[in-house]
Amino acid sequence: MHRLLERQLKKYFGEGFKVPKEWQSFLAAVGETYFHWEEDRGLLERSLELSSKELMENNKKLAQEKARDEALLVSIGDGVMATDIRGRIILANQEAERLLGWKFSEIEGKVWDDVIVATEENGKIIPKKDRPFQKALKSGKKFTTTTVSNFYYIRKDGRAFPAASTANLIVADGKVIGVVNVFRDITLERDIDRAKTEFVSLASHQLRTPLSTVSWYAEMLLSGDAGQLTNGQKKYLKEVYQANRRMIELVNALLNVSRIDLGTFIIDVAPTNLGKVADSVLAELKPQIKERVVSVTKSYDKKLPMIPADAKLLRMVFQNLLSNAIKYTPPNGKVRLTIERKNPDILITVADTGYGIPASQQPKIFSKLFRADNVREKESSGTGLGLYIVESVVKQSGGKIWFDSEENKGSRFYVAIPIAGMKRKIGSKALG
Amino acid sequence: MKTEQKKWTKKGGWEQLSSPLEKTPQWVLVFSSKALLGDKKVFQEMRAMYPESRLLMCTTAGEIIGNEVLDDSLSVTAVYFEKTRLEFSEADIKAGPESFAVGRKLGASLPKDGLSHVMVFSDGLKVNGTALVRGLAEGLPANVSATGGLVGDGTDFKTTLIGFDKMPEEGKIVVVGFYGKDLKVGYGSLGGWDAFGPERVITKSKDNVLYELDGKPALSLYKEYLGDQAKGLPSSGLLFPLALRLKTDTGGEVEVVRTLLAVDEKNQSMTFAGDMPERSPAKLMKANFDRLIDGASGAAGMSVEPLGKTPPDLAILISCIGRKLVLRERVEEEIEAVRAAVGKKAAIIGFYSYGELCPTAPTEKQCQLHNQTMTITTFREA
Repeated sequence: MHRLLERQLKKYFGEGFKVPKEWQSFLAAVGETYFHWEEDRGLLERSLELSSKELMENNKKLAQEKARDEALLVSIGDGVMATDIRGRIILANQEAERLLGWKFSEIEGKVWDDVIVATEENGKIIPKKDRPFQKALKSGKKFTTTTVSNFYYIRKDGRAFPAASTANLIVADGKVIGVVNVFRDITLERDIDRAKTEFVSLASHQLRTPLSTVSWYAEMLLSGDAGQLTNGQKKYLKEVYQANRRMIELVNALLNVSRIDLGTFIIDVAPTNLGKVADSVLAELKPQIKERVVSVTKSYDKKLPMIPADAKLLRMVFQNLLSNAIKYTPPNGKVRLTIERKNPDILITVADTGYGIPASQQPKIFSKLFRADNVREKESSGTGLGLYIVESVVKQSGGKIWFDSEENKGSRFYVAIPIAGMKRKIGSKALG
Repeated sequence: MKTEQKKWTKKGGWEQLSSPLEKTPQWVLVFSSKALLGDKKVFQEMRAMYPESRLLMCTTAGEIIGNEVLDDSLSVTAVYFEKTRLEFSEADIKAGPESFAVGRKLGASLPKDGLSHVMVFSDGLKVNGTALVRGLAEGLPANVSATGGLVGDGTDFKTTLIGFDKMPEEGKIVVVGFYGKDLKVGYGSLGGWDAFGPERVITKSKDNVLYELDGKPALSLYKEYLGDQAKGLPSSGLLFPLALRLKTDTGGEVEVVRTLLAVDEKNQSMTFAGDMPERSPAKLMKANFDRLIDGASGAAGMSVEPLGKTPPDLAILISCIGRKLVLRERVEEEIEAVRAAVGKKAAIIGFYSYGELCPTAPTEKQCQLHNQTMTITTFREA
C-alpha cells in the first residue's frame, strides 16, 4: 500500500485500524493511483529538469555564437549596416560608425536613407530610389556602386567621402527580412586611379609627337620626296606606315579615355546638322566600305532640325559606330544608318548584318578594352576603346545609348540625342 | 442500421449489452487481446455465434465498448445495415517498404461504383503508415474518404493479428468499402499533446526508422528522459511522442505527431509509425490531461457535424495506445467525452491502436496517418 494512503487511513481511522476485507481491492486501486501519480510527477520533474538543462546549454551556445559573430563583425574592415525590410537600422559595426561619424545608439531604429544622405561628387543629392538600399529591395538582388561610380556618403559632421557600397537582401526561411549594406571609403583608390589616368594622359600626349614625326617621314618617303623607292621598299614602308597609323589611333583613343576618366573633356555645343556630320563620316569611310564589299544605305528624316550639339563629338560617335558596323560585317553584308526624329530625341540607328555580339558578352560591351571573342578571332585590329568613348560621350552629353544584337545575325546600335541639345560641359581638353 | 453489442471478460463471462438483432448482421467486429484471438477456440466460438456474417477480428492495446475501456476482453459489435452494401478486401504485408504498393492494391481492389467511404484495419507493426495511406489515396477515387487504424498488441509491440472470416494472423490489412447514398459518415481526429524543450533536427533516418537527432543517438535521448521507465521501452517511449515539422508539396509546412513502435538496441535505432524525413525539425511532446480529454471531445464533435441533427447509430473509436498509457485510471474520461458528443443512442466500439488513419479536416477526403490521437468514425443510415 502507498505510504500516503497508509498515513491517511491511520489519521482518519486511528492507529491499528484493520482494513475490512471488502475494502481491500478498492484501496488497492486507490493505492495504485497514488503510485501512478507519483511516477507521473517524477517523469514530469525529470523532463522539466532535463529540458531546462538543454535549453540553458543552448542559450549558452547561442550567447557564445553571438559573441563570436559580434567579434567577427567588429573586425571587418568595411562598414556594415543592416536594416529591416522598412529600412530601419538594426545593426552597425564599428567601421560603419567610424566612417559615418554616427554612433549606432544614435541611429538605431531610424530609417537608413533618412539618416545617411548619398550625393554625387558635385553635392547633388541622389534620390532615395537610386540608392543601393532601394535598388536591392526593388530588383530583389545585390546592388553595387563601383569604385568609379559617382557616389558619396555624407558623414554626421557634413563632410562627404566617396564610397563603394553594396546592398544585398537578408533572406530567412525564404522571406526577405531586411537589407545589409557593406561600404568603404574609396578616397585612396580614387586618388591612385586618378594618378594612373593622369600618367596615361601624359604618356599618350608625349607619344603623339614622335609618332606623328614617323608618320610624316613615312608619307614623304612613300611619295618619293627623297627619291624613288623600289617596289619591295615601298611594300615594307607601307606596312610601317599602316602600323604607325594604328598606333596613333590607339594613342588618341587612350588620350580620349583618360580625358573622359579625368572629367577634363569639353562638350562645346553649336547648332549642328546631324545629317551633314553623318554624310562627312560616310564619305571618309568610303575606302573601307569598298575594301569590305558591304552595302551601306542611309535614311534621314526630311525635316531634321538643327540641334545644339558638339559636331566633333558627334563625328566621333558616327565614326565609331559606322566603322565598327563595316569592320564586323562580312563581305556582301548590309549596313544601314537611320536618323529620325523621335520626340523628344533625335534617334540614330546603325544596323548591320554582321557577326553580332555573343549574348554572354553583351553586358561588357561598353567596358574599357573589351572586345567580343568572335570578332577578336576575325579582326586583329581594334582598340576595344571605341564603344567606351561613345557611351561616355553620349551619356555625359545627356543622351542615351543601347543596342540589340544576335550572334551571326547582326547588331543594332541606337543613340538618342535630345532635340533640346547636348549638355554643355566645361573642361580643359577637347577629345580628338 | 441496427447494432448488437456484447462482451466477454474473464470475470463476468459473456454479457449482452444491447438487445439481440432480429436479422442477420452483415458485419461483426471483434476487438480483443492477442492471448484470446490467438486461441482457435475463440475464433470457432465467434464463427458459431455469427455463422453468416463477415467476421473481422483485431488484436488491440485495449478494447473500447460502450463507455468502458477493457483489457483481455472480447468486445463484439454486430451491425445490420438496412440500406448499405459492404465490400471487403484483404492483403498480406511482410514489411514496411511494401506499404505503398499494398495500399494502392487494396484501394484499387474495391469496386468504385457507389463507394462512399472506406475503413482500413491494418497490421500495427509491419506497416509504414505514411506510405500505406499514400498508396490507398492512389488506389481510391479522390472523392472517397478513408479512416481506420493500425491494430495493437497491448504494450508488447511484438505481433499484431487480424482475422477476416479466418483465424487471425500477422501481416494482414483489411479494407471495408461502404456503398449507397443513404449512409452518412462523419470523422474527426485530434490529439492534445504539447511540444516542449528545445527543437532538434533529424540528422539520420531512413523511412520510418530514426537513428539520430542533432547528430546524437535518438535512443540515448529517450533513455535519458525516461530514466527508470526506459526499461519499459518501446511502450514507455509513447510518453514522449515526437512533433515533426514537415515540408508539404506546395512549399508550406505541416506539423505531424509520430509515435514509437519499436527500438533496436544493436543499431541504436527507433522505428516510428510513419516517415521520419532527415533535416525535419522535431520536438519531444508531453501529455496534458485536460487537453487530451478536450481532444477526444473535439474529435467527436467533428465526427458528428456532417450527420446533422440526428445522432449517429454507430461510432468506431480508434485511440492511440500512448493516450491510454498516460491517462491510466482516467482513460475512460476520454470515452465519456466522446459519449457526450455522439449521444446516448450510438453504439460505441473501438480499440487502442498503434496508429490512426483519418483525413486531417472534416472537409478533406484523403486519409492521413496520425499518432497519439483519438480518431472517430460515425455512421448513420438516412
